Amino acid sequence: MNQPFDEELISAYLDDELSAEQRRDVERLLAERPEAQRLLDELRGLRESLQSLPTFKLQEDFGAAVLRRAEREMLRTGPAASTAPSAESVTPVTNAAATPIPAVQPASQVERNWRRPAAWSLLAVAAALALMFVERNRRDSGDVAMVKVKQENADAKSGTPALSPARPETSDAVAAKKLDRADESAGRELLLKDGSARSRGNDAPAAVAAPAPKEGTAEQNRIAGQPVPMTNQFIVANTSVPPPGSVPPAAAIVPPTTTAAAKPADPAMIAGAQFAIENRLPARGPATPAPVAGNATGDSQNALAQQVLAGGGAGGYALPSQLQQGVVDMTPLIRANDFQRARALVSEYEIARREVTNERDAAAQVSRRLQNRALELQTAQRITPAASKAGPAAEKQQSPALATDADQLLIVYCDVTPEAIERGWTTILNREQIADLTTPYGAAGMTAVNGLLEKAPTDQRKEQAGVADEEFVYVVADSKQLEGTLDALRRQSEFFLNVRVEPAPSDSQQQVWRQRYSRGEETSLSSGYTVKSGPVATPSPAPAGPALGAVAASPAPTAAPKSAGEEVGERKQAGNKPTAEIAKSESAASSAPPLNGIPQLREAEVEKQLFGGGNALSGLGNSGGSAAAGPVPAASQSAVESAYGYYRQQQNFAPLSRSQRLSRADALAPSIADAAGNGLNRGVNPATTTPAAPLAASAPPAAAANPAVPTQDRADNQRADKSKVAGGGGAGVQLGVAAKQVDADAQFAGAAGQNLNWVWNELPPDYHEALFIFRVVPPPKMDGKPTK
Amino acid sequence: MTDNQLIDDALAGRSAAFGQLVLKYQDRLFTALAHAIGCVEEARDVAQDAFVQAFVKLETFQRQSSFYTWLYRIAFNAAVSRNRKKRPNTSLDERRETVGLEPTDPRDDGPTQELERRERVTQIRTALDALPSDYRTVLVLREIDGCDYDQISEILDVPVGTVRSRLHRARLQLKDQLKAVVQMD
Repeated sequence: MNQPFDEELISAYLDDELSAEQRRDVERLLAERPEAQRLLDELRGLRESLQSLPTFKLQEDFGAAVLRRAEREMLRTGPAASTAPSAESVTPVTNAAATPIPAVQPASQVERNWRRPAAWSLLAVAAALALMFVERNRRDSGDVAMVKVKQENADAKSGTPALSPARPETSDAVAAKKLDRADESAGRELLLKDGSARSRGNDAPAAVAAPAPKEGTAEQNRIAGQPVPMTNQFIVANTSVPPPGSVPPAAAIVPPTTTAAAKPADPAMIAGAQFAIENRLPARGPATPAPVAGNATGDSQNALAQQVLAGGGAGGYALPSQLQQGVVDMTPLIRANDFQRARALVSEYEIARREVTNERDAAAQVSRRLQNRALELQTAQRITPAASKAGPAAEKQQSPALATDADQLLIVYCDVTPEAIERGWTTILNREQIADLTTPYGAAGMTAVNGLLEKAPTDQRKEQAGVADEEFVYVVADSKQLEGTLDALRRQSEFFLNVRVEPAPSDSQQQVWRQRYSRGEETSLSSGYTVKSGPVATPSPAPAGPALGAVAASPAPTAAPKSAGEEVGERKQAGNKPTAEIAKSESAASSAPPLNGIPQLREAEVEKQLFGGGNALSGLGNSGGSAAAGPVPAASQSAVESAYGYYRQQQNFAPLSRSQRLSRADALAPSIADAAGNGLNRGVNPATTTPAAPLAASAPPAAAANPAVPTQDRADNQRADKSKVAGGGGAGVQLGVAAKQVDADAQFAGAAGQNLNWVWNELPPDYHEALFIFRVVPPPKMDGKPTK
Repeated sequence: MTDNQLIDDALAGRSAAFGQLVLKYQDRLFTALAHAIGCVEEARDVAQDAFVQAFVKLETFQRQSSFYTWLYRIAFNAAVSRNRKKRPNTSLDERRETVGLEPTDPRDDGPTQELERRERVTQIRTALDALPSDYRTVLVLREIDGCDYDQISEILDVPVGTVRSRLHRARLQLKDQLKAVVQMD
């Protein structure tokens, strides 16, 4: 019986990684043991297979892109602050601690290299400011003066008299005084290096600069951790003549400990300083490496700007000498009235500045990506490993569950065209720098989402929903990102036919809802948790967006609180309600008394407005068939197209600004609070924020003005229920539902913004979890057949 | 110019020298990463990250290994630290639509041979993708990139013995996967 041989030796033999002795042993083995030779042949074949895989080429400009990014990276982090995998770990380090790495390039050289873009930007700012000053001087007597103020400590060191030796004054006060004098002397004042001043004629340019300090001195001190000495500063201050007796214009330099609060710094100078800082600091603190100075975050940029202007201070920044050098470079040109060359110089600086600006923007994007990455990681930690395949029960038990508080989850329902997911959605996510967390976690992510909603299996859900397809996208984003996303969804109405935002109702909120229903305050659940049928005591109940579908029959008053998923499931199942039940519900709805003095529109009127007189939904509903199969009757196709066009028209509403929404939110605070108490009326549609024109034309004016008109919503939802009961529909029904959705949302246009704000106000301020549920709706084709 | 000369030039402030290093190794690194990661877009991003970090950290490169080994080590770490699942993986067969990348194959076969070759490549890719990432990486480094055991050991930061055993297990598993894929087809 043959002894088993070490197969690894065969593998190593193939790789020619054996010693001579081992090699001889293996060759003997191969000669004696056919199975060893067979294994070797198999491994050799495997190698050939792998080596037959294609190779890939990158674009030729890849290297240039790498260098650009590398410069940005160095600009952002500095040469020694990279977050990259430790390079030291790559190369075996021996005596790393004892033996310093021989730096081929001196540190100062590296520092100077990576500082170069920022210096250019500062120079550009200085040049632009100087030229602006000169140009303005040429036009009139001069509104802007550029003066150089010597700091008191520098004066003391040099022995030159301070500008106001008699009493201590802050530098901005000194500057203001000088500017007053400058104004008195025809708008310009030239302060020489020693602090003396001499007037210049009106026709002479007035930008003057002291000789640049020794380059690198301040920087070297800063790098070495030494206090940065105060340096001469340039001030650009508005010297518009102040009213008599008024406080002089704020000077640019504001020492951080003295008059920063009392006298704001000059905006232009602050902007320049901030610009300089932004090119060296991340936009926000924790996600990006600390700046070279090491003690500033994005939140402290304003303070740091003032420190910069003050010539260092705690931030360790001083106005780089390049800034002064730039003015020096321009000064002779300006003095010689050679504005053409000066302008050319400015152009050069401006180009450099733009490059740096682009890099800054890129750095900001990196920062946002890092923040999203942090959120991803945070979320990933909250997702348990993937579910097993041991059956539904085991899957449910082991399914990864997002540790999401349903109160914090925003759900966005959206009817979309097939192109939306492929084309529009990715672009929106990328633009908003939002990471799609559904895709990364694949099946686990989807299971988590499903577990989050506790929905029925996907197939069943689709069948119940009567939609052709559904896409779930789970994201974590901050409010601005989400708002940008929703705005983008609204703007791209050709892709995103309908947008509706809801928070997932939590158990506690559902409990409140059921308790209210059990008390008889709600008479119907047929249109989901958005309906209040019958007279409502409160003058202005919170508006509600339409529900996804109908809600199941009334739950028992004593029923245990249900989860969000059960809630959704109930609404889905309502699509199977008998038609008679729906009809009864519709009848009750249409005969309900007016709300808030606004008469309800009858079903026929609504459909007439929606579809131009044709009973589109009835026809489509009778056509039967599932959404994914069965042609839409030709007679109904025009109605489909009409609905589609109508919907498109409704998407053109002018959006309310955030301030407008907030204002309205304040006005409707009681209603919103009522809604919060009920756990009802969560539907919003940020896509439609003003009333729909067709309905506004037929409905009483108050209907358009008052956002709280749930009657129409109910009718629409019931009509949607009817369409689902009749067979689920096809594209036409979906479009009809979409049109209905817009119709209802138009009625509650003003509510959308407030509800959205309300939702977000309820959510944590830093970020939100949002689940986008896209229901794919094939748009009608020109030949009258729906596309799929 | 040798790598060391180019590195010296880059450290002296001539970034074009580093550009030559990029040009020299970009396709090799990209190919290895594309096969190891299984996504060309991700591989491109990782390759770019690696080159950028190599540039930033160039002064710390002690030249006790080859530049490429050092570079691949950075790339490997970048790939690990990166969220590979952030975007849906684009299959290598979809590369043309996504990033306009074109695999290069010097052979010029006829249509039938080309079809068979493509099918075979697809099978290999499927089998390779089914391997654990550790196995896939070591296979790519050895069989596609041509690294020896010492280089692989250095890149993956594992002992040479581990490389040998892992490589062998990876081959056996790939063989089994390939059989399964062929049977499925």
